[in-house]
Amino acid sequence: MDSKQIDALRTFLREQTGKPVDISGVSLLGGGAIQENHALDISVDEETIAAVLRCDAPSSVPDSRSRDQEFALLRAAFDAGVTVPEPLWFGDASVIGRPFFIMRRAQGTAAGHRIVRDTSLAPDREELVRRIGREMGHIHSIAPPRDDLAFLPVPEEHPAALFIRESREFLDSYHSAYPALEWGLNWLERNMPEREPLCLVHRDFRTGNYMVDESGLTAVLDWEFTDWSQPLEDLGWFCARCWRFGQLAEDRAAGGVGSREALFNGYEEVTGRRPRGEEIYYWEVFAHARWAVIAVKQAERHISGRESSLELALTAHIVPELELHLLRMTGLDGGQGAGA
Amino acid sequence: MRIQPDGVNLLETVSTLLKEEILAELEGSKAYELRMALNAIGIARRQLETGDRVEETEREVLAVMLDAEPEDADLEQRFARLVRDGTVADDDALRTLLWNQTLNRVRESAPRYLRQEGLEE
Repeated sequence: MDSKQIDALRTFLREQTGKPVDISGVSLLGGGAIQENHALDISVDEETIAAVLRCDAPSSVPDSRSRDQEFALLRAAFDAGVTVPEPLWFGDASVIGRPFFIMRRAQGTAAGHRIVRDTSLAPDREELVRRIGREMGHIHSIAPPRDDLAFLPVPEEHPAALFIRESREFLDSYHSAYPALEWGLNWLERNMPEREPLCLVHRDFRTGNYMVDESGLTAVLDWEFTDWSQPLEDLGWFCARCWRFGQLAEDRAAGGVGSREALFNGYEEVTGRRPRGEEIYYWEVFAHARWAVIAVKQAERHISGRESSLELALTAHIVPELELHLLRMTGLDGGQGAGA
Repeated sequence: MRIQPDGVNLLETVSTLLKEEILAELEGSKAYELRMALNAIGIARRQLETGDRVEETEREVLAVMLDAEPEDADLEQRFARLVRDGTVADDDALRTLLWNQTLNRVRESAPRYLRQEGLEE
Protein backbone atom coordinates (compact mmCIF):
# COMPACT_ATOMS: atom_id res chain seq x y z
CA MET A 1 0.00 0.00 0.00
CA ASP A 2 1.34 3.43 -0.84
CA SER A 3 1.27 6.49 1.42
CA LYS A 4 -1.83 7.95 -0.26
CA GLN A 5 -3.77 4.74 0.40
CA ILE A 6 -2.62 4.69 4.01
CA ASP A 7 -3.72 8.32 4.44
CA ALA A 8 -7.10 7.51 2.92
CA LEU A 9 -7.42 4.50 5.17
CA ARG A 10 -6.61 6.61 8.24
CA THR A 11 -9.33 9.08 7.28
CA PHE A 12 -11.80 6.24 6.71
CA LEU A 13 -11.06 4.67 10.09
CA ARG A 14 -11.35 8.05 11.82
CA GLU A 15 -14.84 8.38 10.31
CA GLN A 16 -15.75 4.84 11.31
CA THR A 17 -14.55 5.08 14.90
CA GLY A 18 -15.07 8.78 15.58
CA LYS A 19 -11.66 8.81 17.23
CA PRO A 20 -8.08 9.68 16.31
CA VAL A 21 -6.43 6.81 14.43
CA ASP A 22 -2.84 5.98 13.61
CA ILE A 23 -1.63 3.26 11.27
CA SER A 24 1.79 1.63 11.40
CA GLY A 25 3.67 -1.52 10.46
CA VAL A 26 2.02 -1.98 7.07
CA SER A 27 3.45 -4.97 5.18
CA LEU A 28 2.22 -7.25 2.43
CA LEU A 29 1.70 -10.83 3.58
CA GLY A 30 2.57 -13.64 1.14
CA GLY A 31 0.42 -16.32 -0.35
CA GLY A 32 -2.48 -14.53 -1.98
CA ALA A 33 -2.91 -14.98 -5.73
CA ILE A 34 -6.53 -13.83 -5.77
CA GLN A 35 -6.53 -11.58 -2.70
CA GLU A 36 -3.90 -9.43 -1.10
CA ASN A 37 -3.44 -9.45 2.66
CA HIS A 38 -1.65 -6.58 4.38
CA ALA A 39 -0.61 -6.72 8.03
CA LEU A 40 -1.03 -3.42 9.85
CA ASP A 41 -1.29 -2.05 13.37
CA ILE A 42 -4.17 0.35 14.03
CA SER A 43 -4.01 2.60 17.06
CA VAL A 44 -7.39 3.89 18.21
CA ASP A 45 -7.31 5.90 21.42
CA GLU A 46 -5.28 3.78 23.83
CA GLU A 47 -5.77 0.49 21.99
CA THR A 48 -3.52 -0.93 19.27
CA ILE A 49 -5.22 -3.51 17.08
CA ALA A 50 -3.06 -6.05 15.26
CA ALA A 51 -5.03 -6.32 12.05
CA VAL A 52 -5.08 -7.60 8.48
CA LEU A 53 -6.48 -5.64 5.55
CA ARG A 54 -7.76 -7.95 2.82
CA CYS A 55 -8.45 -6.66 -0.69
CA ASP A 56 -8.60 -7.98 -4.25
CA ALA A 57 -5.27 -8.62 -5.94
CA PRO A 58 -4.83 -6.90 -9.31
CA SER A 59 -5.34 -10.27 -11.07
CA SER A 60 -8.40 -11.25 -9.07
CA VAL A 61 -10.70 -13.79 -10.76
CA PRO A 62 -14.33 -12.76 -11.17
CA ASP A 63 -15.88 -15.94 -9.75
CA SER A 64 -14.35 -15.64 -6.28
CA ARG A 65 -16.47 -14.11 -3.51
CA SER A 66 -16.40 -10.34 -3.28
CA ARG A 67 -14.89 -8.72 -0.23
CA ASP A 68 -18.23 -7.50 1.12
CA GLN A 69 -19.58 -11.05 0.82
CA GLU A 70 -16.55 -12.48 2.56
CA PHE A 71 -16.94 -9.87 5.29
CA ALA A 72 -20.59 -10.90 5.78
CA LEU A 73 -19.61 -14.57 5.96
CA LEU A 74 -16.92 -13.86 8.52
CA ARG A 75 -19.41 -11.82 10.57
CA ALA A 76 -21.99 -14.64 10.47
CA ALA A 77 -19.38 -17.22 11.44
CA PHE A 78 -17.98 -15.03 14.21
CA ASP A 79 -21.44 -14.47 15.65
CA ALA A 80 -22.12 -18.23 15.52
CA GLY A 81 -19.07 -18.92 17.68
CA VAL A 82 -16.67 -20.05 14.97
CA THR A 83 -13.02 -19.20 15.62
CA VAL A 84 -12.41 -16.65 12.89
CA PRO A 85 -10.50 -13.38 12.90
CA GLU A 86 -13.02 -10.81 14.14
CA PRO A 87 -14.23 -8.77 11.14
CA LEU A 88 -13.96 -5.07 12.00
CA TRP A 89 -14.62 -2.71 9.08
CA PHE A 90 -15.56 -2.97 5.41
CA GLY A 91 -14.67 -0.26 2.91
CA ASP A 92 -15.65 0.14 -0.73
CA ALA A 93 -13.36 1.00 -3.64
CA SER A 94 -13.67 4.74 -3.02
CA VAL A 95 -11.25 4.49 -0.09
CA ILE A 96 -8.09 2.78 -1.40
CA GLY A 97 -9.12 1.96 -4.98
CA ARG A 98 -10.29 -1.59 -4.26
CA PRO A 99 -12.94 -3.00 -1.93
CA PHE A 100 -11.41 -4.24 1.30
CA PHE A 101 -12.13 -5.28 4.83
CA ILE A 102 -10.14 -5.22 8.01
CA MET A 103 -10.09 -8.04 10.54
CA ARG A 104 -8.11 -8.84 13.63
CA ARG A 105 -4.84 -10.66 12.94
CA ALA A 106 -4.71 -14.29 14.06
CA GLN A 107 -1.48 -15.75 15.37
CA GLY A 108 0.23 -18.89 14.14
CA THR A 109 0.68 -20.60 10.81
CA ALA A 110 -1.61 -22.16 8.23
CA ALA A 111 1.13 -24.01 6.29
CA GLY A 112 -0.31 -27.50 5.85
CA HIS A 113 2.98 -29.34 5.33
CA ARG A 114 4.32 -27.78 8.52
CA ILE A 115 1.21 -28.37 10.59
CA VAL A 116 1.07 -32.10 9.87
CA ARG A 117 4.74 -32.61 10.83
CA ASP A 118 5.55 -30.03 13.49
CA THR A 119 3.95 -31.27 16.68
CA SER A 120 5.15 -28.22 18.62
CA LEU A 121 2.12 -26.63 16.97
CA ALA A 122 -1.09 -27.72 18.68
CA PRO A 123 0.74 -30.62 20.35
CA ASP A 124 -2.44 -32.42 21.43
CA ARG A 125 -3.47 -33.53 17.96
CA GLU A 126 -6.60 -35.36 19.00
CA GLU A 127 -7.78 -32.23 20.82
CA LEU A 128 -7.00 -30.15 17.70
CA VAL A 129 -9.15 -32.41 15.55
CA ARG A 130 -11.93 -32.53 18.14
CA ARG A 131 -11.86 -28.73 18.19
CA ILE A 132 -12.13 -28.69 14.39
CA GLY A 133 -15.18 -30.94 14.65
CA ARG A 134 -16.72 -28.44 17.06
CA GLU A 135 -15.90 -25.56 14.70
CA MET A 136 -17.68 -27.36 11.88
CA GLY A 137 -20.67 -27.87 14.14
CA HIS A 138 -20.85 -24.15 14.82
CA ILE A 139 -20.64 -23.35 11.09
CA HIS A 140 -23.43 -25.82 10.34
CA SER A 141 -25.68 -24.18 12.94
CA ILE A 142 -26.18 -21.36 10.40
CA ALA A 143 -29.13 -22.15 8.15
CA PRO A 144 -31.05 -20.35 5.40
CA PRO A 145 -32.85 -18.08 4.98
CA ARG A 146 -30.57 -15.31 6.19
CA ASP A 147 -30.90 -11.71 5.05
CA ASP A 148 -27.22 -11.05 5.73
CA LEU A 149 -26.25 -13.99 3.47
CA ALA A 150 -28.83 -13.39 0.76
CA PHE A 151 -26.04 -13.36 -1.85
CA LEU A 152 -25.67 -17.13 -1.39
CA PRO A 153 -28.12 -18.81 -3.77
CA VAL A 154 -30.29 -21.46 -2.13
CA PRO A 155 -30.04 -24.55 -4.35
CA GLU A 156 -33.32 -26.14 -5.34
CA GLU A 157 -31.75 -29.49 -6.16
CA HIS A 158 -29.55 -31.69 -3.99
CA PRO A 159 -26.16 -29.94 -3.69
CA ALA A 160 -24.39 -33.10 -4.87
CA ALA A 161 -26.72 -33.32 -7.88
CA LEU A 162 -26.00 -29.67 -8.61
CA PHE A 163 -22.26 -30.36 -8.54
CA ILE A 164 -22.62 -33.38 -10.83
CA ARG A 165 -24.77 -31.48 -13.32
CA GLU A 166 -22.50 -28.43 -13.40
CA SER A 167 -19.39 -30.60 -13.67
CA ARG A 168 -20.81 -32.48 -16.65
CA GLU A 169 -21.78 -29.22 -18.32
CA PHE A 170 -18.26 -27.95 -17.79
CA LEU A 171 -16.67 -31.16 -19.10
CA ASP A 172 -18.93 -31.05 -22.18
CA SER A 173 -17.63 -27.60 -22.97
CA TYR A 174 -13.96 -28.27 -22.17
CA HIS A 175 -11.29 -29.08 -24.75
CA SER A 176 -10.03 -32.23 -22.98
CA ALA A 177 -11.90 -35.31 -21.76
CA TYR A 178 -11.64 -36.85 -18.30
CA PRO A 179 -13.15 -40.35 -18.50
CA ALA A 180 -12.10 -41.37 -14.98
CA LEU A 181 -13.66 -38.25 -13.55
CA GLU A 182 -16.84 -39.13 -15.44
CA TRP A 183 -16.72 -42.53 -13.75
CA GLY A 184 -16.53 -40.84 -10.36
CA LEU A 185 -19.46 -38.54 -11.18
CA ASN A 186 -21.55 -41.59 -12.12
CA TRP A 187 -20.78 -43.20 -8.77
CA LEU A 188 -21.72 -40.02 -6.95
CA GLU A 189 -25.01 -39.89 -8.83
CA ARG A 190 -25.90 -43.50 -8.08
CA ASN A 191 -24.90 -43.42 -4.44
CA MET A 192 -26.26 -40.00 -3.52
CA PRO A 193 -27.60 -39.84 0.05
CA GLU A 194 -31.00 -38.42 0.92
CA ARG A 195 -31.10 -34.66 0.87
CA GLU A 196 -30.80 -33.09 4.32
CA PRO A 197 -31.79 -29.58 5.36
CA LEU A 198 -29.34 -27.05 4.00
CA CYS A 199 -26.83 -25.32 6.24
CA LEU A 200 -23.79 -23.13 5.82
CA VAL A 201 -20.87 -25.27 4.67
CA HIS A 202 -17.33 -23.91 4.52
CA ARG A 203 -16.52 -26.15 1.50
CA ASP A 204 -12.75 -25.72 1.83
CA PHE A 205 -12.19 -26.64 5.49
CA ARG A 206 -8.93 -28.56 5.31
CA THR A 207 -5.45 -28.53 6.73
CA GLY A 208 -3.85 -25.47 5.16
CA ASN A 209 -6.96 -23.36 5.66
CA TYR A 210 -6.85 -22.99 9.43
CA MET A 211 -4.20 -21.46 11.64
CA VAL A 212 -2.59 -23.02 14.68
CA ASP A 213 0.04 -21.97 17.16
CA GLU A 214 1.53 -23.69 20.19
CA SER A 215 -1.79 -23.38 22.02
CA GLY A 216 -3.95 -24.92 19.30
CA LEU A 217 -6.34 -23.62 16.66
CA THR A 218 -6.41 -19.84 16.30
CA ALA A 219 -8.52 -19.21 13.17
CA VAL A 220 -10.54 -20.83 10.41
CA LEU A 221 -9.62 -19.15 7.12
CA ASP A 222 -10.52 -18.93 3.44
CA TRP A 223 -14.29 -18.61 3.18
CA GLU A 224 -14.33 -18.10 -0.58
CA PHE A 225 -16.13 -21.35 -1.44
CA THR A 226 -18.66 -21.17 1.42
CA ASP A 227 -22.21 -21.96 0.39
CA TRP A 228 -25.46 -23.60 1.44
CA SER A 229 -24.91 -27.34 1.19
CA GLN A 230 -24.98 -30.62 3.10
CA PRO A 231 -23.20 -30.65 6.46
CA LEU A 232 -21.25 -33.85 5.95
CA GLU A 233 -19.55 -32.34 2.91
CA ASP A 234 -17.18 -30.46 5.24
CA LEU A 235 -16.27 -33.61 7.16
CA GLY A 236 -15.61 -35.56 3.97
CA TRP A 237 -13.48 -32.76 2.54
CA PHE A 238 -11.43 -32.61 5.73
CA CYS A 239 -10.82 -36.39 5.79
CA ALA A 240 -10.21 -36.89 2.07
CA ARG A 241 -6.87 -38.47 1.27
CA CYS A 242 -5.99 -35.63 -1.07
CA TRP A 243 -5.92 -33.16 1.85
CA ARG A 244 -3.78 -35.13 4.29
CA PHE A 245 -0.41 -33.83 3.10
CA GLY A 246 1.03 -37.32 2.75
CA GLN A 247 -0.07 -38.51 6.21
CA LEU A 248 -1.83 -41.71 5.23
CA ALA A 249 -2.04 -43.63 8.53
CA GLU A 250 -5.59 -44.27 9.70
CA ASP A 251 -4.99 -42.41 12.96
CA ARG A 252 -4.21 -39.34 10.84
CA ALA A 253 -7.22 -39.70 8.55
CA ALA A 254 -8.68 -36.39 9.70
CA GLY A 255 -6.69 -33.77 7.83
CA GLY A 256 -3.40 -35.61 8.28
CA VAL A 257 -3.36 -34.56 11.91
CA GLY A 258 -5.71 -36.76 13.95
CA SER A 259 -8.32 -39.49 13.95
CA ARG A 260 -11.77 -39.51 12.46
CA GLU A 261 -13.09 -40.51 15.89
CA ALA A 262 -11.83 -37.30 17.46
CA LEU A 263 -13.31 -35.23 14.64
CA PHE A 264 -16.67 -36.96 14.99
CA ASN A 265 -16.55 -36.57 18.79
CA GLY A 266 -16.12 -32.82 18.47
CA TYR A 267 -18.86 -32.59 15.88
CA GLU A 268 -21.23 -34.57 18.06
CA GLU A 269 -20.48 -32.34 21.07
CA VAL A 270 -21.92 -29.32 19.25
CA THR A 271 -24.55 -30.80 16.96
CA GLY A 272 -25.67 -33.91 18.85
CA ARG A 273 -25.16 -35.83 15.62
CA ARG A 274 -22.68 -38.70 15.42
CA PRO A 275 -21.45 -38.96 11.81
CA ARG A 276 -21.06 -42.51 10.54
CA GLY A 277 -18.01 -43.58 8.56
CA GLU A 278 -20.06 -44.82 5.60
CA GLU A 279 -21.83 -41.44 5.39
CA ILE A 280 -18.50 -39.63 5.29
CA TYR A 281 -17.16 -42.03 2.65
CA TYR A 282 -19.59 -40.62 0.09
CA TRP A 283 -18.36 -37.11 0.79
CA GLU A 284 -14.72 -38.20 0.61
CA VAL A 285 -15.38 -39.51 -2.90
CA PHE A 286 -17.19 -36.24 -3.59
CA ALA A 287 -14.15 -34.31 -2.33
CA HIS A 288 -11.83 -36.05 -4.79
CA ALA A 289 -14.18 -35.38 -7.70
CA ARG A 290 -14.77 -31.78 -6.70
CA TRP A 291 -11.07 -31.06 -6.20
CA ALA A 292 -10.36 -32.64 -9.59
CA VAL A 293 -12.87 -30.33 -11.30
CA ILE A 294 -11.48 -27.29 -9.48
CA ALA A 295 -7.93 -28.34 -10.45
CA VAL A 296 -8.87 -28.63 -14.13
CA LYS A 297 -10.39 -25.14 -13.99
CA GLN A 298 -7.42 -23.65 -12.17
CA ALA A 299 -4.96 -25.20 -14.62
CA GLU A 300 -6.96 -23.77 -17.51
CA ARG A 301 -6.11 -20.28 -16.27
CA HIS A 302 -2.48 -21.11 -17.13
CA ILE A 303 -3.15 -23.24 -20.22
CA SER A 304 -5.30 -20.53 -21.81
CA GLY A 305 -2.50 -18.00 -21.42
CA ARG A 306 -4.61 -15.75 -19.19
CA GLU A 307 -2.30 -16.17 -16.23
CA SER A 308 1.16 -17.71 -16.54
CA SER A 309 1.83 -19.54 -13.28
CA LEU A 310 3.87 -22.62 -12.44
CA GLU A 311 1.59 -23.34 -9.49
CA LEU A 312 -1.50 -23.29 -11.71
CA ALA A 313 0.30 -25.33 -14.39
CA LEU A 314 1.17 -28.04 -11.88
CA THR A 315 -2.42 -28.17 -10.69
CA ALA A 316 -3.23 -29.97 -13.95
CA HIS A 317 -0.90 -32.76 -12.91
CA ILE A 318 -2.76 -33.32 -9.64
CA VAL A 319 -5.80 -34.50 -11.60
CA PRO A 320 -4.57 -37.98 -12.65
CA GLU A 321 -3.80 -38.94 -9.05
CA LEU A 322 -7.24 -37.75 -7.97
CA GLU A 323 -8.83 -39.68 -10.83
CA LEU A 324 -6.99 -42.91 -10.02
CA HIS A 325 -7.98 -42.62 -6.38
CA LEU A 326 -11.57 -41.97 -7.45
CA LEU A 327 -11.53 -45.19 -9.48
CA ARG A 328 -10.17 -47.15 -6.54
CA MET A 329 -12.68 -45.66 -4.09
CA THR A 330 -15.57 -46.52 -6.38
CA GLY A 331 -14.83 -50.15 -7.08
CA LEU A 332 -12.55 -50.01 -10.11
CA ASP A 333 -9.21 -51.22 -8.81
CA GLY A 334 -6.99 -52.81 -11.43
CA GLY A 335 -9.66 -52.47 -14.06
CA GLN A 336 -11.75 -55.39 -12.81
CA GLY A 337 -14.08 -53.78 -10.29
CA ALA A 338 -17.82 -53.53 -10.21
CA GLY A 339 -19.63 -51.04 -12.39
CA ALA A 340 -19.90 -47.48 -11.13
CA MET B 1 22.44 -38.23 -33.96
CA ARG B 2 21.97 -35.77 -31.15
CA ILE B 3 24.87 -34.68 -29.00
CA GLN B 4 24.98 -36.51 -25.68
CA PRO B 5 23.98 -36.04 -22.91
CA ASP B 6 20.39 -35.92 -24.13
CA GLY B 7 17.51 -33.84 -22.76
CA VAL B 8 16.50 -36.42 -20.17
CA ASN B 9 20.02 -36.60 -18.82
CA LEU B 10 20.30 -32.79 -18.71
CA LEU B 11 17.03 -32.47 -16.81
CA GLU B 12 18.17 -35.12 -14.33
CA THR B 13 21.44 -33.28 -13.82
CA VAL B 14 19.68 -29.96 -13.32
CA SER B 15 17.33 -31.57 -10.81
CA THR B 16 20.20 -33.02 -8.83
CA LEU B 17 22.01 -29.68 -8.79
CA LEU B 18 18.95 -27.77 -7.63
CA LYS B 19 18.00 -30.36 -5.03
CA GLU B 20 21.43 -30.97 -3.56
CA GLU B 21 23.12 -27.58 -3.92
CA ILE B 22 20.44 -24.89 -4.00
CA LEU B 23 17.40 -26.12 -2.10
CA ALA B 24 19.22 -26.30 1.23
CA GLU B 25 20.14 -22.62 0.87
CA LEU B 26 16.52 -21.52 0.58
CA GLU B 27 13.63 -21.32 2.98
CA GLY B 28 10.00 -20.27 3.07
CA SER B 29 8.33 -19.30 -0.17
CA LYS B 30 11.57 -19.55 -2.20
CA ALA B 31 12.10 -23.15 -1.11
CA TYR B 32 8.47 -23.89 -1.97
CA GLU B 33 8.89 -22.38 -5.42
CA LEU B 34 12.01 -24.43 -6.06
CA ARG B 35 10.19 -27.61 -5.03
CA MET B 36 7.48 -26.73 -7.53
CA ALA B 37 10.13 -26.23 -10.20
CA LEU B 38 11.69 -29.61 -9.37
CA ASN B 39 8.28 -31.24 -9.63
CA ALA B 40 7.75 -29.65 -13.05
CA ILE B 41 11.17 -30.78 -14.24
CA GLY B 42 10.38 -34.31 -13.07
CA ILE B 43 7.13 -34.39 -15.05
CA ALA B 44 8.83 -33.02 -18.14
CA ARG B 45 11.65 -35.60 -17.83
CA ARG B 46 9.18 -38.50 -17.52
CA GLN B 47 7.20 -37.24 -20.51
CA LEU B 48 10.41 -37.06 -22.55
CA GLU B 49 11.36 -40.59 -21.51
CA THR B 50 7.94 -41.97 -22.41
CA GLY B 51 7.56 -40.02 -25.62
CA ASP B 52 4.33 -40.50 -27.56
CA ARG B 53 4.48 -44.30 -27.47
CA VAL B 54 2.01 -44.86 -24.61
CA GLU B 55 -0.53 -42.36 -25.89
CA GLU B 56 -0.35 -43.77 -29.42
CA THR B 57 -0.95 -47.28 -28.13
CA GLU B 58 -3.90 -46.08 -26.03
CA ARG B 59 -5.45 -44.38 -29.04
CA GLU B 60 -4.99 -47.46 -31.21
CA VAL B 61 -6.71 -49.68 -28.64
CA LEU B 62 -9.46 -47.13 -28.10
CA ALA B 63 -10.03 -46.77 -31.83
CA VAL B 64 -10.49 -50.52 -32.20
CA MET B 65 -12.95 -50.64 -29.33
CA LEU B 66 -14.94 -47.67 -30.54
CA ASP B 67 -14.80 -48.65 -34.20
CA ALA B 68 -13.02 -45.39 -34.99
CA GLU B 69 -9.68 -44.14 -36.27
CA PRO B 70 -6.74 -43.44 -33.90
CA GLU B 71 -6.37 -39.94 -35.31
CA ASP B 72 -10.02 -38.99 -34.68
CA ALA B 73 -9.96 -35.76 -32.69
CA ASP B 74 -12.95 -36.67 -30.53
CA LEU B 75 -11.78 -40.15 -29.54
CA GLU B 76 -11.32 -39.28 -25.87
CA GLN B 77 -14.62 -37.41 -25.73
CA ARG B 78 -16.41 -40.43 -27.15
CA PHE B 79 -14.80 -42.65 -24.55
CA ALA B 80 -15.86 -40.23 -21.81
CA ARG B 81 -19.44 -40.32 -23.10
CA LEU B 82 -19.40 -44.13 -22.93
CA VAL B 83 -18.32 -43.87 -19.32
CA ARG B 84 -21.12 -41.44 -18.57
CA ASP B 85 -23.83 -43.52 -20.22
CA GLY B 86 -22.75 -46.64 -18.33
CA THR B 87 -21.37 -48.63 -21.27
CA VAL B 88 -17.88 -48.83 -19.79
CA ALA B 89 -19.19 -50.11 -16.46
CA ASP B 90 -20.59 -53.18 -18.23
CA ASP B 91 -17.58 -53.91 -20.43
CA ASP B 92 -14.47 -55.62 -19.00
CA ALA B 93 -12.18 -54.47 -21.78
CA LEU B 94 -13.27 -50.83 -21.59
CA ARG B 95 -12.96 -50.85 -17.82
CA THR B 96 -9.44 -52.19 -18.11
CA LEU B 97 -8.66 -49.51 -20.67
CA LEU B 98 -9.99 -46.81 -18.33
CA TRP B 99 -7.84 -48.13 -15.51
CA ASN B 100 -4.69 -48.42 -17.64
CA GLN B 101 -5.17 -45.00 -19.19
CA THR B 102 -5.51 -43.37 -15.77
CA LEU B 103 -2.55 -45.34 -14.44
CA ASN B 104 -0.38 -44.15 -17.34
CA ARG B 105 -1.25 -40.53 -16.59
CA VAL B 106 -0.29 -40.98 -12.94
CA ARG B 107 3.02 -42.58 -13.95
CA GLU B 108 3.97 -39.31 -15.59
CA SER B 109 2.34 -36.82 -13.23
CA ALA B 110 2.58 -38.35 -9.76
CA PRO B 111 4.45 -41.69 -9.61
CA ARG B 112 4.87 -41.22 -5.86
CA TYR B 113 1.17 -42.04 -5.46
CA LEU B 114 1.75 -45.45 -7.07
CA ARG B 115 4.60 -46.22 -4.68
CA GLN B 116 2.66 -44.97 -1.63
CA GLU B 117 -0.28 -47.16 -2.50
CA GLY B 118 1.81 -50.22 -3.37
CA LEU B 119 0.59 -50.21 -6.96
CA GLU B 120 4.13 -50.11 -8.30
CA GLU B 121 7.62 -50.41 -6.85
